[in-house]
Amino acid sequence: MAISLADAVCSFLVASHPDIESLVRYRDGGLSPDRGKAIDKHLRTCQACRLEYQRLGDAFTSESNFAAPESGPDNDRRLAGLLAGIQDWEAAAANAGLRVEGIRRRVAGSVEKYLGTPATSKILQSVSGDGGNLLSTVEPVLAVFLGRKAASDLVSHVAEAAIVRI
Amino acid sequence: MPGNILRFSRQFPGEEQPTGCASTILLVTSIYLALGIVALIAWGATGNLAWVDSFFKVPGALMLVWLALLEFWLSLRVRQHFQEGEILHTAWFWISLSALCHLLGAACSQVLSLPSAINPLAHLPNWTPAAAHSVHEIGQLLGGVFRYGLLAAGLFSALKAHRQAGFPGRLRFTDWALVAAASAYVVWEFTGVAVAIRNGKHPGLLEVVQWPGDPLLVLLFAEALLLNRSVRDMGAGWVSRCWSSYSIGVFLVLLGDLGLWLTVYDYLPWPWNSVVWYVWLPAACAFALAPAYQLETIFQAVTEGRSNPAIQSST
Repeated sequence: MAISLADAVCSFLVASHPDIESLVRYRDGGLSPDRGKAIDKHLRTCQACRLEYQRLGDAFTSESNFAAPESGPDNDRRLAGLLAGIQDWEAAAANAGLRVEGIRRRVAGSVEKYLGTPATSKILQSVSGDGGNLLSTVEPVLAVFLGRKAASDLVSHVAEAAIVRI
Repeated sequence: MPGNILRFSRQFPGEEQPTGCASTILLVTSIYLALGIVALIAWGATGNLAWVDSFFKVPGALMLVWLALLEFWLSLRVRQHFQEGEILHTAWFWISLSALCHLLGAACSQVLSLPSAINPLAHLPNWTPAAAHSVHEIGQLLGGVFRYGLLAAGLFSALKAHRQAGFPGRLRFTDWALVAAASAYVVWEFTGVAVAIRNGKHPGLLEVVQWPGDPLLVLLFAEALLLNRSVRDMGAGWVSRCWSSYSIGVFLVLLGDLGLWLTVYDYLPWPWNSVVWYVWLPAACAFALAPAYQLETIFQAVTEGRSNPAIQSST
């Protein structure tokens, strides 16, 4: 079996393990045919280089997943669903704001006949934006003037009328 | 009138709402005042002082005692609605004691010391004018120094309650000026007393005990002004009506006191000074209205709360 000079040189070169750059170029098909054949031959016999080549292949696969998303009907549907979810969330947040404002107005309507309009406005100023501390802000003031028992009864009624029934 | 009292007593102990209590007090006082004005006009027209004298000796005196009785009873009822430790429980404790002194003072000085048909003591065989004078002095002491001191303690607690709720009253320049003028008057009055003592006056024990009366009135005046400012900051709510009534009551008492002072120093001659007699009725009315308003407000809150289905089902 006759061996050309070029083959002999390549076999010699590859026998000393190809470097990373050569393996990458081999993977990308960027080597000359002779050089490619030599690396191919080496990879069949050298387990260490084969493993190194496989590692480069895995890295390529995961890198390509991030770099180039596939386009298709499933992805479009997922994207539309995501956008709709964002719009729903924005609408719910706006409605919650309006709802808190409505509750605050109804609570004011129930309380101001007892404390007076300016006093009620002043008390409700310290209520948080989400209305979480609305009743806990109003009840202590009513308790001072009406007693804890009457204030507790009244606040339960206010909560029922202004929040629960709505 | 007793019918009204009985009607109230049947309403208050239960959970019923005492609506109409304050308006009844106002109505009855208005009728009495109207009758008093009729008596005043009759006196002016006929020149017969008996018209006014009869009015103040019997119906007027009974009215003052009735109002004081209502004030005491209603303030006791209000106090029961506050638990121990609550700031208005303390306030109403002092106010109810003050109302008791007002009641005893009114009974002594309006009924038990006068030679009228409604005075049971006047029918006793050993009843003397000296005894009547002593009863009157005791009435003045109870209805003056004692009542004002206890009321000042009660209103002080009420002011603390307003501050705690975030509505501290602040005196304005005109308020300070009025308090300063009243204080100056008290200083001037005490200077006069000191001069009299230096010149050989020996005041009796009952007289000495009554000396704090005017300083206490000035203190009450300052408290009433502060309460008035707090109430104005809060706005026209049901809670405000009670404390406004106390402010008005104190202002009227001070007005009556000023009238008496003007009479004593001849700045308000007879018969014009008789107008001062009519100040005490609305003043007593204001003091009776205050706990009535407070009680109505509490009952309103409780009734509104009880209308809540969640509470109804739990009780």
